[in-house]
Amino acid sequence: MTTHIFNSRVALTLAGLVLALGILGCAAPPPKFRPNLVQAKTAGAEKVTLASTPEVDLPTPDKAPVAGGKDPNAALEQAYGMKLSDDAGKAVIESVVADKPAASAGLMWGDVITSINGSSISDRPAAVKALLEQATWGKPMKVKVDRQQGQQIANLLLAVFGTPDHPERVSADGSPDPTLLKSFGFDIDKLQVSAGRVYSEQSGRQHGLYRLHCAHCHGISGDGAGPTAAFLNPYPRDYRQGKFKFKSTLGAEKPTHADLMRILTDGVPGTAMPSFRILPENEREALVEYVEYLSVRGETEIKLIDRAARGETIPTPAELAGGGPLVPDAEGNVTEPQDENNIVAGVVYTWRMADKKIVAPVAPSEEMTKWLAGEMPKNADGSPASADSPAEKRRLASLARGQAMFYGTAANCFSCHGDSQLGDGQTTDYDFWFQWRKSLDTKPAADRDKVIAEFEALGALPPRNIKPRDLRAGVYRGGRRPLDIYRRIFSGINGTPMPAISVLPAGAAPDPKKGVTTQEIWDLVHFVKSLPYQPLSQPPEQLEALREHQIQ
Amino acid sequence: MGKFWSFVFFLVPVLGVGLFVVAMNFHSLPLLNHWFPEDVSASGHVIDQLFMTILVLTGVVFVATEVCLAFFLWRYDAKANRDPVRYMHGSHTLEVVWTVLPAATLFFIAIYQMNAWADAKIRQPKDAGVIVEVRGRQFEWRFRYPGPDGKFNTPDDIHWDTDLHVPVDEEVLVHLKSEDVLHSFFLPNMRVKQDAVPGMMIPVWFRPTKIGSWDLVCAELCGWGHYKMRGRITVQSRADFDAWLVEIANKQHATQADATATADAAKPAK
Amino acid sequence: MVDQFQPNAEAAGEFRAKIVAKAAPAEGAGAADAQKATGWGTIQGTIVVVGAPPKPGVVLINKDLEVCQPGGHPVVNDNLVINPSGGGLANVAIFAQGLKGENVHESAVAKKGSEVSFDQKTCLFLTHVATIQVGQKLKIINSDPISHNTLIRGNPEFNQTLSPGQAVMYEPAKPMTAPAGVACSIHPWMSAYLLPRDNGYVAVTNPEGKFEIKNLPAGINLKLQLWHEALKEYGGVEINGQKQPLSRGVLPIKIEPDKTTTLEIKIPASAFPAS
Repeated sequence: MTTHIFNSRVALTLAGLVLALGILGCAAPPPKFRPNLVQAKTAGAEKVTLASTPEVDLPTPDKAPVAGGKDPNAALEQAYGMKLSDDAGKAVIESVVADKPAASAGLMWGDVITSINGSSISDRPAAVKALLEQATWGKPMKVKVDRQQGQQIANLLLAVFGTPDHPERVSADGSPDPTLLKSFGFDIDKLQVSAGRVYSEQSGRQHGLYRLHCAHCHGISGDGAGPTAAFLNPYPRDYRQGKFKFKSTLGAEKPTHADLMRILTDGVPGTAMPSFRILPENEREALVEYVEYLSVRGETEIKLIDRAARGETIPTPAELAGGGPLVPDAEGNVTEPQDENNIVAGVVYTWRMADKKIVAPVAPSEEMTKWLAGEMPKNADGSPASADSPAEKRRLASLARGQAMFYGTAANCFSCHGDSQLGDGQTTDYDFWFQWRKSLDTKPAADRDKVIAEFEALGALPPRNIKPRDLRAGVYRGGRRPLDIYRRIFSGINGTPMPAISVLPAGAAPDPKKGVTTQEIWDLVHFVKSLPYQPLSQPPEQLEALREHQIQ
Repeated sequence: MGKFWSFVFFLVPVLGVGLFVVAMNFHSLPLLNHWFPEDVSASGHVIDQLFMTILVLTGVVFVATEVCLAFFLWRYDAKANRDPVRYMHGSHTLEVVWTVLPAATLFFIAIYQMNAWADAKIRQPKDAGVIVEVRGRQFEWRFRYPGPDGKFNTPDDIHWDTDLHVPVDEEVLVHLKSEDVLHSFFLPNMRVKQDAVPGMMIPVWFRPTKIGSWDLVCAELCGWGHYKMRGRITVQSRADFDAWLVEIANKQHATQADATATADAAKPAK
Repeated sequence: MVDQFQPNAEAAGEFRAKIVAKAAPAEGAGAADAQKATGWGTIQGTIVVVGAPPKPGVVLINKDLEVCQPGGHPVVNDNLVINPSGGGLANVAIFAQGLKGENVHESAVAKKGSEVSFDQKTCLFLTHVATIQVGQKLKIINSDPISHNTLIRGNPEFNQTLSPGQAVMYEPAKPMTAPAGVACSIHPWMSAYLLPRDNGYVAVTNPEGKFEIKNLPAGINLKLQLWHEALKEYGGVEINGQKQPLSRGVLPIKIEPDKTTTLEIKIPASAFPAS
C-alpha cells in the first residue's frame, strides 16, 4: 500500500507544481522595456545611465531679490531664474529660465539639489533657506546636484507614449488618455490591437498582433533585438533609429505608410522577413501604425539621449510634447514645428510629410518597358529576333550602355558590387546601425575587442559588415519591380553605404563624366535585371541543360 | 485492486473505437470536424480509401490486442493466482501464425497501395495545366510561375508568395525546393504532403476539383518557425487564374508608381 | 543598470499633468533680460598638446592603390594631427554657442547661397573639419581620377556618387551642435567632419594649432565649445597657464570690446586615447 500513497503524493506534488507555475505565470511582472543604452554609449556619454552629480558655481545677484514674500519661488526666479518644485521633500529644480544665472551655471530642470556651499541639503525648505537667506550676495555659491537624466528620459517617454504594451496608459493609476497620441495623428484603436498581450475577443478580433507576429525578432520595444535576432542575417530592423531602407521616398526621408504595408505584405526576400500577406488587411494596417508609433517613440528617445550625452539639458515635458497637433490638413500637409525642443512633433512631422517626398521615375520608352518585363524582341511569326535584327540590336545596345555605366565613373557600381557583380567589391564597411563599430576601425585590435564587448554588454548585437548585394542572385530585397530598382539607384539605400547616383539636371546633354540622365538609369536597371539570367549566373542544372542542348 | 487495471485497459479500445465513431459521424462539437478535411482533389479519395482500409485492419488488430491485454490482466491477477510461475517453451504453431499473418497483411497492403503510390509519386502528368515552383524558406512559402514563355529562369518569370493560385480541374505540377532547411509542403485538402529537401527538386502533382481557398501549411516538426509558414491555396477557374497571373505580372513589371499606389500612399484620414 | 532606467509611473503622471496643462515655460524667457553685446572683440589662440601624444596609426588601404597610395608610401591616419614642432593640435573646431539676433555681428553672417568648397584628393578629404553656415552651399568636389561617394550624416542626410572631376552641391538645413561625420563608403578609411552653424563664430585650428574668431559680442557671457574627434575628456586642460577643467569642452568666457583676447590652451597628451 505504501507505493500507492507514494504515487498519490507524487501526483499531488506535480499538480501543486503545475498550479504554482500557472499562478506565477499570471502574476509575472510586466515586461521591462530596455532603454537604449547602446545609443548613450554611441553618443559618448560618460555614464550610460546619464546620471551625474555635477557641482556648479551659481552666481548670485549683487543684492537680495525684492520679490518673494510668501512665495519663495518668485524670489528664486528673480535672483537665479529658477523654480523649485512645490512638493515637499527633495529640493527638485522644476524649471530654469534660459540665459539666467541658474541656466548659465549649468543647472537643469529635474536636478535635485544635494548640497550648497558644502552643507548638504535634504529638502526643499533647506534649499530655499540656503539660496535666499544664507546667500552672500554678489558671491557665487557652490551648488551640487543629483542629475538622473536617464531616469528622466524614461519618465518622459512614459508620459508621452505610455508603454509599448499600453500606448494609451500614461498616468500613475493607469487610466487611459489617448488625446496626446491622437493629436499627433496616431490611430489609437490600431495601436491598441497591436500592443500588449496576445488574446482574441469572442468575436475573433485578434489582439497583441505585434507580440504574436513581430516581437520575437524585432523586440518588444522595436529595438531589433528580440530573442531570435542574433541568429538572423541580416539582423531585424531596429525601428528606433527611424531609418528604413526599402521605401519609395527620397534619400533619408521616412517611408510612407504604403511602403511599410508593402514590406509587411511582400516580405523582404533574401532576409528572414517573411510575407504577411495572409493576415487580414486591417491587421496589417494596425501593425504598420504600431511600427510607426514604436519608431517615433524610439527616435524621440534617441534624440533625448543624444542631448543628455552631450551634457545639454533635455526638454521639459511641455516642451517635448509641444508643437502639435500634427493632424494633416485636406492636402495632407502639416506644419513643421519650429522649436527644436518639440522633439516628438519634429519626428512625427517627418513621418507625416513622407508622402510628399516620393520618387516618381521618368517613364521609360515603350520598348524599354517591354524589355524590363522580360519580353524579348520577336519576328513577325513570333520566333525570337536574331541578334542582327534592328529591334534586338537596340536591346543589346541598351544593355551595353547599362554595362558601361556599371563600370563607369558616374554610377561606379563595380567598386562595391564587384567586377563580377557578385557583391564582392567593398565588403569591409558598416551600415548606419553599426556606426559605433565603424568608429573603432582606427583603434588597435585589442582595444577594439574590449569596446565591442562593452557595447554587447549593453545589448548591442555582435557587429557585422554590410555586404553589397550579389546582383546575379536575382534576389531583390526592396522588391523586384523595375520601379524599385530605379528608386534604389536614384536615391541610394538609406542607412547603408549605397549612394544616390549623380543625376544630370533635366534637359542637360548626356555627359558620362558628370552623371547620368534619368532615362539612362533605365538602361542601368535593364542591365542589372538581366544579370541573373546570364548563363554565368544560372544554377548548375541549367548549365547541364545548356550543355545537353549544345551536344544535340 | 489488480482487476481494476484490467478494466482501465479495457476502456482503451472501447473509448478509442468510440472516438473514431463519434468523429466520423458527428461533424460538430466537440470534435469540430476533426475527421478528414474536405477532399477537393481528383485523387484524394484513393488516399482516403487506403487510409480507411488500413484503419480497419489496424483497428481490428488494435481491438483484439487490447481485449487480450485486458483479459490477461483479469485472468492472471497476482492476488487471485498464488501458484508459482511456470516457464514454458511456447507454441511453435502459434509463432508461425503470428508471423505469417502480419507478413501476409503487410504484403497485401504493399500490393494494394502500389497503384496509388505510383499515381502520386511516379507517374508524373505529361499534361500539367500549370507548373509552379514552390520554395520553402525560413519561414514562408515562395512561388514562381514560368511566365508567358513557359520556361523558368527567364526574365518573364512571375514571383509570388504565401497564397498559391492554381486553376481548377487541371493537373498542377509543383517543383518543390527548399532554400535552407527541410520543409514539408502540406495541402490537407489535396491529400498532398511532401518534404522539401535542400538541394533537390521534387515534383509534386495534384488536380484540384473545386473552386475555393484552403490551407497550405508546413508539416515539418523540427525547427522553431515552421508553424508560422501558414499559407493559402486558392483554386480559381482558368479564366480567373489567367487574369490573376496577368495582374500580378503587371504589378511585378511596374515602372511607374501607378494610380492605386499613389492612392495607397496617402495615409488614411484620421 | 536596466532597472535604473525603468520609468516611474508616478513621475510620468506628473509630467503628463504638465503636458496637459501646457505649462508655459517660465515667463520672460530670455526676452527682457537677454544680454546685449557692448561691442565686438576677437578671440585668438593656440591649442597645444603637452607630452608625448599617441602615435597615429597607418591606414589600411586595400583598393585603388595607385590613386589612394601614391608612390606606395603608407598613409597616416588623420584623426589626430599634431605639429611635430610646438605640438600644435590641428582640426579642433571652436565655436560660440547660442548667439542670436543682435549678438551676431554682420560680418559673421555669410552671404546666402555662397559656396564653401570641400575637396577630396588621393582618397583623402582635403578639409578634415569643414564649417559652413546654414544658407551657404557646400560644393563637394572630387579631384581624383576615380569615383567617390560622399556620405554626410547631417541634416539632411546626403549620400551621392561623384565621378572624377565632378562637383555637387549640398545645403545644410539646420545648424548642428556637433560636427556631422562625412565618409566615403567606397574607401571606408576616408573620414571628415562638417559643422553647419547659423553664424560664422566658428574656427578650426590650422596645422600649428592656431585659431581666430573675429567680431564676437563683448561684455556678455560667451560659451566657447571646443571639439576634437579624438578628445572626450577635457579635465586636464590648462588655459593661459591655469588649470581649467572644461565640462564637455565648454569654455565660459567674457571678452572686452575692441580687444583681442588670447587663449593658450594646453591639453595633456594623456587625454587622447591610444589610437
